[in-house]
Amino acid sequence: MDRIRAMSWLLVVVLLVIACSGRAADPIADPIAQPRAEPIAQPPTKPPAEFARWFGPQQWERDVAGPIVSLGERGQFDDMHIFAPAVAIENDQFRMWYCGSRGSAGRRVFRLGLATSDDGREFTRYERNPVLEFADGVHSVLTPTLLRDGTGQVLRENGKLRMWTSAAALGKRGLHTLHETTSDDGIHWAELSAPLLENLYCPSVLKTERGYEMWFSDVSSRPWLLRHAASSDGTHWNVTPGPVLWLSQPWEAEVLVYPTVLLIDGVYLMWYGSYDNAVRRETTAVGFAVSSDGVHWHKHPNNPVLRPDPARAWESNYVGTGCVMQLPDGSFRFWYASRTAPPFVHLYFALNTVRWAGPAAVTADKEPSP
Amino acid sequence: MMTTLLIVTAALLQPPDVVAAITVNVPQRVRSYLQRCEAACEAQVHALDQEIDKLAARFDRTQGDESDAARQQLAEARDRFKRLQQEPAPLVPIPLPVKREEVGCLPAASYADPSREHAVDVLEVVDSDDVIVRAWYAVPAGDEAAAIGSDADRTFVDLWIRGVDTTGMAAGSPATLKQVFWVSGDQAFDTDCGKRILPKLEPLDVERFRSRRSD
Repeated sequence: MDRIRAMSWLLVVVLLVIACSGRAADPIADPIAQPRAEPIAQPPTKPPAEFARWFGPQQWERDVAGPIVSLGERGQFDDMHIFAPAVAIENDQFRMWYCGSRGSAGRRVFRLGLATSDDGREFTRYERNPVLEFADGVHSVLTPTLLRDGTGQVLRENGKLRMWTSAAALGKRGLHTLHETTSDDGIHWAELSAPLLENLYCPSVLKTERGYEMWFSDVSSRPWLLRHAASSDGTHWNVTPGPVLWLSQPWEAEVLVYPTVLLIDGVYLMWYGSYDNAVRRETTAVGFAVSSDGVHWHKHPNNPVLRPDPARAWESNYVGTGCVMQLPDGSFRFWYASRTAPPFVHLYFALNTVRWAGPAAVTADKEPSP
Repeated sequence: MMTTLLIVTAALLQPPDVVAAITVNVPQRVRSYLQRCEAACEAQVHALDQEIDKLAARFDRTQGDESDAARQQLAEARDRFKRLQQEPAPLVPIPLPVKREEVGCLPAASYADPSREHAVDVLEVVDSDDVIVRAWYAVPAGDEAAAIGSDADRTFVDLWIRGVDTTGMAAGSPATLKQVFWVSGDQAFDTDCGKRILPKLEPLDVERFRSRRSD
């Protein structure tokens, strides 16, 4: 009996060898799929010691009683939606460009408006708004950003302001693209360029020793991540491989968006937005990150640094989509958009500002732990 | 034909319960997953085998207390080796971020514990058998992001889980989901700002197709 059993096993082995030689043609004997390499965590890189001063508390002071720009009156270009302020200071005057739209959420077409101020807190709309739009009447001008130096002060080239915006046909699953334009006076803008990059939203551009640097949301797929690009002329961009900031803190959700970047004392500072502990997009908040090269970022351990204020109805649920600037006195001012509580009829509802005195001085022998 | 011959021959030579296991119609999705588990297990067995060789060599070179410690380590490694060989191949986790049709289990741990590479937390209990969870995972080593480097060495993906008993689950707490899941599609749901779409995972019964690796 044992001999028969042994012979049978030998037959099985022979058959196995034969069967294996033809397994590619046998759908049941599909080769085992190669397991995907398991992710291996990278050892965290500790933030350099010089970042410590930036990882203290960020106490943004709401020093205005209400919105600095509200929705336009019925019939104006911005009577339903308003967001994405970009502010410049020239000749002691603050000028704010922002995006406004009429119509329901699904029919939004944003155009560019202008408002001016003497102090950065009380703005007056330009009477002939809008100042820039796409000629096709379909694409929106979204999230403008001006060419700035590291402190956020606007730079002119050949005497002209230089602006980049993302654009899309909203509500139509349209491609997000990057465009640029220039202006002598901030009122009359050149025709928006052809797309410079695709799948790009909410750029922030600085002119640094390395040339032009841009940070933006990559919207090619969910989740939205932040990327970096560099250019020698501001028109032809090389996107740095790999995202530079991604979802990694528990408060964040679904997207990283609306970066606004400064370069102070050789340190890159970024404020960015995300949904804030919000499965159903109820609230957003602003996070903060620091970098020595604009590519390797360290998030503030106590993010978010700015949240909506439930006591202020016009900014009770969303804050973000704006720009930060360091003022001559060393303080920082953040202009941003906000929303009321749901239902979100207005995307967004108001423009606001807050002020931060700046980081506390850090002595060499008593550095706060990040 | 060759496969049929193989199955029939093998069946003739096996006890009845094994015959049943071989001839049962294993869904392709389950079959592929269990093969992946087997491959992963065999890799572990191979690695452990090499480790045992090293431990044995070390044991031969040591004396006294050091020898006792080496003996203990060797015994533990051999025990692990035996268990790996005998027990069903451990279930491998679902690769994150998920792709449609992929299969695997979700680890049960909290992201509050940074020593764990994987973790799942409840974001929202939708109803008695639907829950939205957040699965954390390490940024892949080969990923360009990791190559650039940052202190954010992990990230997460939100998932819609359907077909589980959500009794006792609460938003903000770790999720304990021991089942094997497959990515059956997408789940759209309303939010305060438009529709949101999440990958949808549903339980996949693999237990009745698992078997001990050897006796």
